Amino acid sequence: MANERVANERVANERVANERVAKEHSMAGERARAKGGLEHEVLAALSAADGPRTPQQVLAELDRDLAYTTVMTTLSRLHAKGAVDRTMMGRAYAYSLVGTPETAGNSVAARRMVKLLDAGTDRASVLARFVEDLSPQDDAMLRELLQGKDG
Amino acid sequence: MIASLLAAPFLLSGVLGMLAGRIGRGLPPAAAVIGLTVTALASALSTGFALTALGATVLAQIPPLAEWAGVSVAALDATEPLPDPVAIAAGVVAVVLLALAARQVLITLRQLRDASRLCAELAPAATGLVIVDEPRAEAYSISGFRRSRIVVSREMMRALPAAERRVLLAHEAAHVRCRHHLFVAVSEVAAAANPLVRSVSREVRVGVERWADEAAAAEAGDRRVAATALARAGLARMRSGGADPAGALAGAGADLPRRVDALLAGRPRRRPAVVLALVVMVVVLLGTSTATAHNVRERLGYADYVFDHR
Repeated sequence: MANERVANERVANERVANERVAKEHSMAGERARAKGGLEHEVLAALSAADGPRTPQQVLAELDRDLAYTTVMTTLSRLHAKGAVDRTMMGRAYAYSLVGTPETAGNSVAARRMVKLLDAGTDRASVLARFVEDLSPQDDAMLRELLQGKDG
Repeated sequence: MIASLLAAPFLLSGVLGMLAGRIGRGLPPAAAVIGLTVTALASALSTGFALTALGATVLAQIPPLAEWAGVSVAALDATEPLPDPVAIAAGVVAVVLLALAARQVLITLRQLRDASRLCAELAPAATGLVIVDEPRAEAYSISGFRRSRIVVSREMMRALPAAERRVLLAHEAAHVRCRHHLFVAVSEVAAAANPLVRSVSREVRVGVERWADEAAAAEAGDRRVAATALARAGLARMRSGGADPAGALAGAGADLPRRVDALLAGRPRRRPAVVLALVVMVVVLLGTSTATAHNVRERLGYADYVFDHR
């Protein structure tokens, strides 16, 4: 009788422990996704800029509720991964996208591949554009939408 | 009874083809894409099986083949559910459709290989995002066997404010994370194998865009911003490079108003009844194939018996 109770308790504890691990994994997955997403946003902000940017400037550009340290850590991480260059600007680092020659081939390679994939009779399943080409009617409708927001 | 068993997959495929658009618009995009892809696949398998079964049993009536297989031609002929010409035509159609499906599979494999190669070439790979210095506003994702990349041009990044850039990146990340290219590829193969469900592959294409739009809107927390991101990106694309002949021919841009409207309309409602209907359709499709297989086995068994006791 007592043995049975002990065995049941052990099973129950194991189940609770497994659930906790699973939850941690999914939370860790979410955190990893959020980290990756922020890296992309920071890279995008740097790409839209016309020169190197300090973490403070990037934070302002991102237009989001973030801590300065979060942006700074993200930039350091990107630098460690070789995705951004940095130069000293006064007392802070200023970051910019890695330039040629590392990325020189990208435009050519990408353009060549997209042309190849577009050459088939049907749209390639491996290529997914954010937006495709518009018709004139779409053009008018979309301009209206944008004016509605900003106007 | 047998004839209706053989006809059922075609009728259901026809229904699926006709309702694909309604299902795609009525269900939340993720459910629509998964449901339509699985159902289209089941319809392709069951119609292919029905055609093959018809063709094979008429093939088995060719005397040398019947002799070799040890089955009675007379017995097979007597138990035939449909006239010979129909069965022969079915066999021919089965071969043609199988060839078309195989061709589509090869096309997809080649594209995956090309995409994998491109991903390997693009540098740096550290974050999965590649920013190219192109005068044209571009943003897309490329998915290979195991590698994927999101490619955006500086021009596109400059054209959008930070919040809309975030939408764009989240949209492309969703494509990569949820492996949307596989759903598109499978639905294309199903459509090649069963032209009755062609419209499903079209619906899956816009469905994966809607799926990514929903993910991006959830990430950004603002559906209106997600909609304006689409609008601004679309206009930037036209402004910065002119029409791309392949894209314009494919009529791909026609989806944009639908995507914008869907984002402005609010979160899509769940419809368990529709999902259930698709599940039932899949079960019925597979059920008819099982029954057809059983029937074929019976016919062959009987023909075998008659042959042995002649």
